[in-house]
Amino acid sequence: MILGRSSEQLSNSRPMDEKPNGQEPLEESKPESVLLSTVRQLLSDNVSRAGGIIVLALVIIAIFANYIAPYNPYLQDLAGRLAPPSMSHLLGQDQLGRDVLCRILYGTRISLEVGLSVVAISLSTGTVVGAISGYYGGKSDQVIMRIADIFLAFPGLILAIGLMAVLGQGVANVIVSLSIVAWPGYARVIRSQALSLKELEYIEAARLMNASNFRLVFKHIIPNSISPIIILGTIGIGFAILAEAGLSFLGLGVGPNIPSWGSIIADGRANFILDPYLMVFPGIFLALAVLGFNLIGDGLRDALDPSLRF
Amino acid sequence: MANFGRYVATRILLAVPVFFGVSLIAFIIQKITPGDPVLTALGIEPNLTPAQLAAEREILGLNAPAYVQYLKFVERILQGNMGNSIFFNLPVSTLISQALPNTLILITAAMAIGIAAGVPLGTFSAFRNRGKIDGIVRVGSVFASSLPDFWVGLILALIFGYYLRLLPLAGFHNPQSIILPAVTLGIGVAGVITRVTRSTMMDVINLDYIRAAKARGMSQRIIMLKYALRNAILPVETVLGLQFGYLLTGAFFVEYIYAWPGLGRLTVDAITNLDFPLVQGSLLVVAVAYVLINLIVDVTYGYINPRIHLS
Repeated sequence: MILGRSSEQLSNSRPMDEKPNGQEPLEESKPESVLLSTVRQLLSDNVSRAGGIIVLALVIIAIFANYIAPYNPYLQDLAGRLAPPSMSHLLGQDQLGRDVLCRILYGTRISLEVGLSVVAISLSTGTVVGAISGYYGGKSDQVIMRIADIFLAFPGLILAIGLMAVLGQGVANVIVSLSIVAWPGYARVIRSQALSLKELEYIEAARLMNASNFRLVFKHIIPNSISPIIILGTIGIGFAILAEAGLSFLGLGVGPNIPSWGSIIADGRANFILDPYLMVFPGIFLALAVLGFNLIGDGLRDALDPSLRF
Repeated sequence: MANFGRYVATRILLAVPVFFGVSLIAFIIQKITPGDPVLTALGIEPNLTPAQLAAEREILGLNAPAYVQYLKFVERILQGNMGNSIFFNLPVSTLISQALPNTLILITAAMAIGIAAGVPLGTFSAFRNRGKIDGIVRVGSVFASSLPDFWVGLILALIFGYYLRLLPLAGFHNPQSIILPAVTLGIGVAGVITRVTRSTMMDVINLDYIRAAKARGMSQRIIMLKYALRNAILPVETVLGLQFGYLLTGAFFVEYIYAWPGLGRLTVDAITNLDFPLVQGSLLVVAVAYVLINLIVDVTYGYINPRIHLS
């Protein structure tokens, strides 16, 4: 038996495109997959579509930065320092004569790298920890949630500032700090999902069929919490991008020479009265990136879980 | 009422281990901080012989096991002794108590701006659901909460402080000094409050009693202000409590840009000066304030909405 049909039935069945007695085949009323209906809903909403276009553009810039950028973002040209926007340098040159446009384009890479890495690490940690905590309950749940509460006792970015002060600058350190800050929030949401899911009949049925706890958590609880995971992940990327820029702005981020939107704004701050373009353009990129992920996150929330809608 | 009392007691009891955990994180930060803790504690770089250094380590209790050191650390904190700032050579508690009120003033002003802009915009947008204005408000509110505070701060300082010369660029010299930092911080809050108000208002205006009011021919203005808003405002109050953390974080950046003499600027300067006792003290105070505010929000919400503590 394959999916409820015997092998004989399968061998006798006609190919889909064959017309019985010259008639059009009856359309099978297959339910649309969640993924497909979500994408359809996202594309039908102007606001989410705008978010998608922004994010797609940023991804393309990040991948092809070395082809799009006309100069090396590290190349110093002291003769052209603080030169205003011109045809050869569209967004001008900074105090070391580096091309601002190139630094912004390469900054997209850092932002997306940090955003995606932080979400990948913190969301997977938070999901596994939260699902285990909610599913098992009892003492382990109490201990895990109290640990999460301790991390949540700090406003997120402030704890990251403290951690970066100790760890020092660097892309890896930024990713580690922001992941430490972000996982408890995810764990808390997934835990509450697990708490309600474990009471449902199909989990009970799987348990009666001797499914192991490991299988129940990883094959049933986590896959069925996918909606909040996707929504939180999308908005989390925006948060991580903003947080990285904030840390770099304070001089606690990826490092002085590496092009990050936050550090480009910080560099521009020194001359922001006379050369405002130095900090205006990286800020626009940063705001658009965060907006893009937030708009998609909002659209996903409407499509996947309207009860979470704000 | 007995239920409510039990709910409050539980919430307070749950906060106790969090306070210990927060102090543990602050302690760990101190332990992994680069540099010799003896030199850090003495605040200067004295020429000590190895024997004198060893004696100092003994006096500071650095030879004791880690858990003893932690308990001593908690004891000191509970006595209000957070050590001395290396850079200012003053007690950390003195510096923080001078800076904290300025941060609270800034946060309160930003919150007021957020409410004054967010509640009317959200209400209006909900009544114009799916219209052009609603679309603009919807995207505008997401955009407002996506803007980086530190960038908005620089732009506003440039426009209102330099080009128009309407407001002071930095510092805290007169009452006008607060306008730019508070508006910078308030824009993000306004965005969030607009979204929450819009969402809760949209739920409320579809309820039967609003339809009944419409059927009786009441004006939209009266329905909006007298009936709908009152019932929609409760979730907004909860979000206001949650915004405290956002504002505290934002204050770190906004104070840094506008040279506002608050806790945020004190901490960022302390990091730049490698003044770790001050960094540690500030983080501790921020976390305790945040936990207390969340506790107050939880308890207040439990009081307003009995279903929370009855469950």
